[in-house]
Amino acid sequence: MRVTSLELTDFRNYENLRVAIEPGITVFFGDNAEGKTNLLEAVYLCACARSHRTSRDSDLIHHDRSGYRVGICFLNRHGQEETLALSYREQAPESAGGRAFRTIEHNGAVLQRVADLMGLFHAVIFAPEDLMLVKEGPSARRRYMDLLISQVRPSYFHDLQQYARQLSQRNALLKQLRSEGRTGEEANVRDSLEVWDEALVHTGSRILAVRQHFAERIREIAADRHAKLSSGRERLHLRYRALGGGRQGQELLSATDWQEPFRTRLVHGRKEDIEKGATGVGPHRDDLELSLDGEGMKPFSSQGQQRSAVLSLRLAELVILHEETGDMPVLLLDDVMSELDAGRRARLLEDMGEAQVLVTCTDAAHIVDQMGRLLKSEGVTYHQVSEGRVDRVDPVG
Amino acid sequence: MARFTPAISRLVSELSRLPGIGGKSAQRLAFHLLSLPQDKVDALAEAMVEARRTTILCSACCNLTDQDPCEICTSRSRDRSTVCVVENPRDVAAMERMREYRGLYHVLHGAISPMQGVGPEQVRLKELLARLREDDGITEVILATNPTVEGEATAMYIARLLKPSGIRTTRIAHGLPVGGDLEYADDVTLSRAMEGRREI
Ligand SMILES: [Zn+2]
Repeated sequence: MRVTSLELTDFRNYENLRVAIEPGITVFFGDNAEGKTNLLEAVYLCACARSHRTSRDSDLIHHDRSGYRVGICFLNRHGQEETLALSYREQAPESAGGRAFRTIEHNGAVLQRVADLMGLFHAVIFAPEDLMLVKEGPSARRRYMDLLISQVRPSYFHDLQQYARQLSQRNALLKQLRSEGRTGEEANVRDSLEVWDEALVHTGSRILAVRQHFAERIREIAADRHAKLSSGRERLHLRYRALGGGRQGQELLSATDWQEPFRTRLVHGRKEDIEKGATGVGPHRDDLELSLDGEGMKPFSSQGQQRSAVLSLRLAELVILHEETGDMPVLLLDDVMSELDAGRRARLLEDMGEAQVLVTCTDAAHIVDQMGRLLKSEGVTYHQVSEGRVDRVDPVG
Repeated sequence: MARFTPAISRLVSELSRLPGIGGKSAQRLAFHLLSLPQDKVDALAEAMVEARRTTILCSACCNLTDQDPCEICTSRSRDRSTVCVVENPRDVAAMERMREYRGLYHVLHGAISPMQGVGPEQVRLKELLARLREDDGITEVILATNPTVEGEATAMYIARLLKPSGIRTTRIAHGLPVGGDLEYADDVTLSRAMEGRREI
C-alpha cells in the first residue's frame, strides 16, 4: 500500500495543499507547530476516519472556516490507483437537516457508512500521544484495539456503532426507570429492559469474541517484541479483561459462548444499573491490561519501560495488519525517532520492512543518523514544512 | 423577522416547524407561496385541510385511511390469518407496491426508543395486542420493522410478548440486494446475510 498524493482543504493550518508523495521514505521537517503532524494526521484519517489526537472533527477545521476536506490517492496492493476523501461540514445544507455531517468518498463515489471506509486503506501511526496507552485508563486501550480490529474487520466496526447506540438506548431507559423510582423487579419493566439487555448481548458477544481473538494475537507479538527490546530482561504481559474479569480463563470463546456470561452479568447488575443510570458491564468497560513481569504498568514502570511497551503494541498492530491484509500498511512516524534510543529504533526498522514511511522531525540532518541504513538504501524525499507551506527540497547533508 | 409583516412571519414560522425545513428554506417557501396566484394557494391550503380532516386511523390496523375500517382491512381478497407489523404508513405503501403480500397490516407509528422518550406505550402496540386477543383467526405475525437498532428492539419486544400466545412470529430477513453481484456487496451487508442464511 502506498500513498501517491495528499490533498488538504481548510484542514488544521492548511487552506489548500497538494503534495505528491514518492515511494520509500518521505521526511517532513521543520520547526514545531508549523503543521508537520497535521500531514500525518490527515493520512491517518483516511485509514480510520479518526484522528490520532482528537475525537472532535471541529478541532480539525482551519480557523474561521466551516468544514475541512482531506483526500489521498494511493496504490492498492494490486498496484491500482484509488482515491479516498473525507470531508466534514459543521453546517449541513438545510435539506440534510442542518446538522454537522461527514462525507466519505471512495473513487469518487460517496460511501453510505463509515464502516465501508474500513479496510480500504491501511496505516499505522507512531506518535507521542501513544503514551496514553499506558498512562491513561482502559478507554485508550479499547480504542487501540477497536481501531486496529476495525481496519481488518469492517463488520466489527459496524458492531461497535450498533453497540454504542444500543447502550445509549439502554442507559436512557435506566435513567427513566430511576426517575420513576423503579427497581427493575416489576414485570413490565423487566420486559422492556430485557429487550435492551438482549440487544447488547447480541452485538456485545460478537465484539467480545473478536476482541479476545485479536487480544491473543496482540499479546503474542507485543510480548515477543518487548522481550527483544529489553534484551530479554523484562516481560510484557497483556490480558484482555472482559466483563470485569473473573470467570474467563485462557480459552477462546465464540460469540455464542460469550452470550450467557454477558447476559448473566447484565441481569445481575440491573438494580445497580438503574441506581447509576448507566450500564456497568460490557465491552464498553473492558480493558487490555498491561503489566511488566506481573506488575501493573502504570505505577511501576519508568518512562523507558513505558516507551518500550507502547512501541511493542504499535509493532503488533503493524504485524497484524500486514498478516491480515497481505500488504504492508503505510507507516506514519510522528516525531518519535528522536525519542527512541538506538535499540528501539533498530527494532522498529526491522519490522517496517518494505513499508512506505512518512516521518516528521525537526532536524532533517539528524534523521539520517537516526534511521541509519534504511535511509541510505531507499529513496528519500525531503519536504520542508513552514507556516502551512510544504516545499520539496534537495537532500540535506 | 421584524422586517416581515406579521402574516408573513407567521407563515415562515409555521413552515419552519416542518421536518427538514430550516429557517432559510421556510422563507424561500413562504415567498414562493406569496408569488403564486391566489387560487393556487387556496388549492394548496384546501388540500392540506381536506387531507387532514378526512384522514383517520383505521381502528383495526392503525393505518391512515379515509374510511374505517380501511380498504385493506375490509378487502375480501386479503388473507386474514397474517398480520405484517410495520413502523409507519409509508412502509405499508412500500409493501403494497410489491403486490405479493396478501395479508393484513398493523402500523405502530414509531419504534421503541428510550432516548426519544418512546416506550412500548408510545407506539400502537396495545392496539395490536387487543386485536390479536379478539381475532383468533390470526395465526402469523410478521415483524417488518426497520433493521435499525430501534426497529430490531421493537421486533424483539413484540416477539417476546407474543411468545406465550403460540401465534407464529416471524422476522423479515435482511441481506443482499437482489440482482447485485456478491463481490460488490458491502462487508456489513454480506456478514448479516451470512448470519441470516438458511437451509435450502
Ligand atoms: Zn385497517
